[in-house]
Amino acid sequence: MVIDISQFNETYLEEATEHLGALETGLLELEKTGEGDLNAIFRAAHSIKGGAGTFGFMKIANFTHNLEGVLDKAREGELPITPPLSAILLQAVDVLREMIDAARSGEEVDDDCGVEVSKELNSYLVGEASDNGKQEVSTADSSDGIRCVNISFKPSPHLLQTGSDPLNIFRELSSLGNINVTIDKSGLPSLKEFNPESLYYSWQIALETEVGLDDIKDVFLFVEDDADIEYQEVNSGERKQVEEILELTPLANRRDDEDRRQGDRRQASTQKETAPKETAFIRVETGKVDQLINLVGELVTTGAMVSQHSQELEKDGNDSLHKVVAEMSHHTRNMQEAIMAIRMMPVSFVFNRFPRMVRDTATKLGKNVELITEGENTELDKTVIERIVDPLTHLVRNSVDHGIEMPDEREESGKPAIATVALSASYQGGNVIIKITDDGKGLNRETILAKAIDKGMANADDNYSDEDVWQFIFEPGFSTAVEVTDVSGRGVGMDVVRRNIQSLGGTIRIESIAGEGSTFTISLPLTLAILDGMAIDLSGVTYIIPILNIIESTRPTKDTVRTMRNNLEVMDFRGEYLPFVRLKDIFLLPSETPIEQGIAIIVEAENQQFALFIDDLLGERQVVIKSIEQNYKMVEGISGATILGDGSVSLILDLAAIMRKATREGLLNKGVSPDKIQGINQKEKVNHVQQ
Amino acid sequence: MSKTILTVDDSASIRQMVGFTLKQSGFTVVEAEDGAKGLVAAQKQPVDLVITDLNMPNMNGLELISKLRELPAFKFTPILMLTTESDDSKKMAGKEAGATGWIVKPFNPEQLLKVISRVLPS
Repeated sequence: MVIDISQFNETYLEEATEHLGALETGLLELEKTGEGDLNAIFRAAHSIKGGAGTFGFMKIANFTHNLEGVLDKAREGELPITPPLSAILLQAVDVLREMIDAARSGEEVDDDCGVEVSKELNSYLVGEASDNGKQEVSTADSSDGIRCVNISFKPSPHLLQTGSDPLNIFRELSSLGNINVTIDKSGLPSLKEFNPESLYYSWQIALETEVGLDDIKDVFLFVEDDADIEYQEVNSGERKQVEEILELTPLANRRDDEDRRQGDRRQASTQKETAPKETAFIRVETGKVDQLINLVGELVTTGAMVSQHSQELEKDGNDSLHKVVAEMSHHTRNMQEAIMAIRMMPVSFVFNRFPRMVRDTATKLGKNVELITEGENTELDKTVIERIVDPLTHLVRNSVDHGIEMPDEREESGKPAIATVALSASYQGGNVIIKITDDGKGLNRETILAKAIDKGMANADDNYSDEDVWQFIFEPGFSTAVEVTDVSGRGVGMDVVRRNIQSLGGTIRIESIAGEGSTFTISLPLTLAILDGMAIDLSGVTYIIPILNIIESTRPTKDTVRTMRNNLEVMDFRGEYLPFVRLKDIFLLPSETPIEQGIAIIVEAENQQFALFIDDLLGERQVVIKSIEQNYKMVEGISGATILGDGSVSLILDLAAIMRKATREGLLNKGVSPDKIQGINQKEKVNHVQQ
Repeated sequence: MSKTILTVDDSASIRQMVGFTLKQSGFTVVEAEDGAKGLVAAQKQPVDLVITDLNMPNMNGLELISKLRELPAFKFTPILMLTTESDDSKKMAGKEAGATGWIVKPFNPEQLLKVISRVLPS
């Protein structure tokens, strides 16, 4: 795992600017009044330096080193801040400001920047070693083969009370080679004098290792002041003895030696298999993997082109070329899957954080909740995993906070006192389904509807299905919690949850039964690089619609599509009126396909259904997504592009954006659909009956 | 269950970087921005390891370490302090206050995790 900390550079530079301000103010104050908080001034410089080194701004770190030294002396009272020194310190502030500004804009400062000031500061430090290069040089003996060391380790009785644990030391030593630990219990006092918090043991450790003595001593770094430690290196003449102690043959021959399993091993002998295990994992920069995914995507696309051409070439019944090409495509697909798998991570990465969270939240609320997780090994793309953490956290917390009742309430309604929240993941086609189920009180239809009406999101006269009502909780600014608890937020959550999931190409659905509990079902694509799409034709151009958005397609007739009074069209789809949007109007394309010769695709975006009218369906395609934004610029209504089998480029439609664009341009009236239309529909039905 | 680490540092960037590194490595992280807040945060949930800066306003790191060591729950808990290379005297003062070990600034995520693995068995 590569941990990239450059994302914190900006925070550091902001913070450094703040510290710099404090430093400057402090110095000015000191100059003006002769008094000031030298500790605070020192701390500001110290913080700038500490962060600079960590985040890789070496010039800032080096420069601040002397500044910090001078200020340290000043606060210890060893160096009075005279007017000339004060002037230099303020110059140093200016130099630092220049360096920080340069770092922010990604520029390099001149090498001689601050050199003069630094020299002057240094002159106040003379006598003190300006010890930038104090790091110990590792001794040359670190790579001269196998060494045997006897270590005598006698910790002081209070060692445990500094948080140290000898077991950790033995564990780390055993990672360096073969060790044999012999315990000496002779220091154990009589029961009367025995203090259970003290350590009375000492140890003899025989270590056979390839690392240098310095590395061995390093293991004891934290305890060397709290223990007597002696190291005795055994030369090759004495090696035999150590081998006897270890009851091992030298590392080099170990694997051939079958007898080593025989003979009595002493207690606590930790034998670490030193055969190279590092090959189990390789660290690879994610950029390299992404490049590979991209390239194999191209290969798949080119493969599809070859396949199409070979079919055309061999129309006369000879299909040998086509067979080979099909075989090749098969391999390419397998390769693509294998490469995609590199980016896959098990959802346990996310799930693992929940047991603790559920426990803490439940305890805080005085509830008793058991968390059950299932399907932790289900794998998802790394990016999807990372971006699903927040929405899932929110949903699980909501379940515990709002879904689960208090224990006495549960008992009254005859439920087990311990509530259950279940988190499961599973594959379903090209998607991963994550479910959060609780056995709490379920969503309250009346409260939600009342709130929605109150907020002007719903109409009191309309009939809403449960499904429709649940959708309101995803609206921005909606919160049903009567009191805002410090566990669940302030109604800023569910709309963000839905938006985050949608930005991953996923959907979220709610099922809830009053008194029995709720289930939130999230469907996510396995990866963000490949999309299952439906190729459609409009004015001779091929577009791709994500399958995830499509509910079904149908051929409209003149009878099913009607124009309403406001000139908007609606389509009667199984007795329900849906907004009818012509894609050609959105993209301003000249298509004259009559209603009965085109296709209406019933799509859903942002939980809104509508019929999208196009010329023709061309069939399902699995496409590799290419970013338009990165190569051109953002285009409204288009989420990306792909290359089709014949080499032509096809645009992938972003239906949520298309819906927004249509609403804005007056081609789709979001406010009166589909529920309002449903209302019209019912009135019409009434009329029909009356007639 | 993942182990909980309390990080105390007045520098947001260091806190974020340490927090990010630890979370990436599967730890649960509790953050506090100075010693006084650290002492309060330490008692809100079980903590498996404390990492604290030394130079902080409102109770410095040394004071925090000795106050923590007085609490029964922190008698044997490993406590690491963040210190700079030149601060040898600080290391000694820290050990006296009850620190288990130190992490030398500047440090990178790998160095941080290495020192943690030394005092906190996985």
